Amino acid sequence: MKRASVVAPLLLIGIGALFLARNLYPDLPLVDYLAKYWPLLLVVWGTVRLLEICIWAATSKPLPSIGVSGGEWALVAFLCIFGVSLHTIHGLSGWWPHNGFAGGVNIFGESFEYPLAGEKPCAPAPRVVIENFRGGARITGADTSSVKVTGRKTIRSLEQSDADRADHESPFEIAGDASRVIIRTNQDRVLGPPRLSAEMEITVPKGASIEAHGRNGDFDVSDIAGDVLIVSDNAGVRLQNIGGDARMELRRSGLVRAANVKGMVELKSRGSDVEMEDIGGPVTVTGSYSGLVQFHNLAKPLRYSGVQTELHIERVPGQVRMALNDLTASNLVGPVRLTSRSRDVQISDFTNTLDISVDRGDIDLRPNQTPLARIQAHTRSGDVLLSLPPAAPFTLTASTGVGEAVNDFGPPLTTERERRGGTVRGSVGGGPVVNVQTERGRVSVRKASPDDAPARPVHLPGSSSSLKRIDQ
Amino acid sequence: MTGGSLGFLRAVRGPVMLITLGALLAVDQFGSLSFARTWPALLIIFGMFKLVEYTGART
Repeated sequence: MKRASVVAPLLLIGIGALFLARNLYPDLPLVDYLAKYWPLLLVVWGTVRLLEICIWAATSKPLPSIGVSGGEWALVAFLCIFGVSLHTIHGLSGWWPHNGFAGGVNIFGESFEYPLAGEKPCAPAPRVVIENFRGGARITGADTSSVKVTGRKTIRSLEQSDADRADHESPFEIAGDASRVIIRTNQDRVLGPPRLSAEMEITVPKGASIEAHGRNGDFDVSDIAGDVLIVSDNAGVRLQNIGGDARMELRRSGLVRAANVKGMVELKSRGSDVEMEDIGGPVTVTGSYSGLVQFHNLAKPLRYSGVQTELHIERVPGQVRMALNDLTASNLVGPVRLTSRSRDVQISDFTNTLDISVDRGDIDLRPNQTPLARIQAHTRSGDVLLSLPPAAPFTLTASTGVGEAVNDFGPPLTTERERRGGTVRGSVGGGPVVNVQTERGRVSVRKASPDDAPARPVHLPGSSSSLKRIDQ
Repeated sequence: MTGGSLGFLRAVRGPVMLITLGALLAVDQFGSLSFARTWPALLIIFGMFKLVEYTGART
């Protein structure tokens, strides 16, 4: 007798859940997860089937003649081809365990370590280039007239002889001249396993600028007056006290953190967390980020361009905090423009004009500062809450297509009920146009009370702790 | 060996092979042992199943 397996319905549920998650959280990097963990799907599948057969055997039910049918093997083959090609496209080489490199943690084979050291005299403001690097580098500016490197190379291998050969094939060198110093680890000369990584402490003159090209690993740059350019396939970056511009082009990234950068900051990546604090120049962030994105004290315009979200703010004296599904900001200098597919938005304490357009999500606006400027907010589906200062002049239209319109502000605003929706409108002193609208949801207008004065900008969590040594 | 346990062996052969395949591919991705080096493990496991079936059928 052919019995139906529980795997097929589970598979359907799984696929459904996957698509649902994609729709609800568009920024979640599901494809990346698939590219990483697809072999585990086979293990889970096999385990479920095995358990099922064991249960059938234990309850003396008839067993299938074969555990996995030809059709299922065909599906497995298809999954393998799909997984391998996804993995290749994403170019995820040596990505796991990411922190294992630093700690010498190794599941397969052993870690063999070789010391790295070198020093080269240079000009007061050299360009320091790090080529084709894999591992972790901590670059610090100091009162010195040379570029000095210390550290170690870790080679993961099953045998010492393989590791020695790999070490021999990848000699460490410091090349170039006084104005352009090139640090080469030559890790790319070793093909395939064994895998190499290096941890380097690099001391450079304060005036230096840094250019790093890496495959995989973390960069920690601090106290330099020049520019920083980091290009990597997969990196975590921490910048602190940078005098020039910072540009980062990372195919994938962990935490990217920049604090106290005098020039502009440009970040292009697909990663998780971003923190930027005390930036003197314009900040441009493009790509997709699945974690927490935070900005704090930006003196020049911020432009954020994600997959689902576009944000432009003239200045951020306060802070902006974006998680996967919401955006909270306080103390902004406009014009502020935001368009997003799916986010709950809460903005308090802003000046100048504000334009918000959200497809799905609640909008909560608290323009505490007077005088008000033009406000235009629209959501297709979600509630809108507007807290207006009692004394400021404005001309308000707050409407909902389907839902309740609530006037907690009181006179002179009036509420009109329409067939399925409603509008709160009115004018105080003929001030600027405030126009908020939801197509489906509740719209309410109220007087701002001292209670909802926004929290003063707090220091970002981990501001100091995250700048500890990266190899700890 | 009874026919019932032989049937059970045959039934779990597929799932066990599938788990092994998944594990080897996972090791290929997560570790330093490539699938190109570990695939004979599949043959060994399949062979062991066949061997147990063979000895079971003879007794």
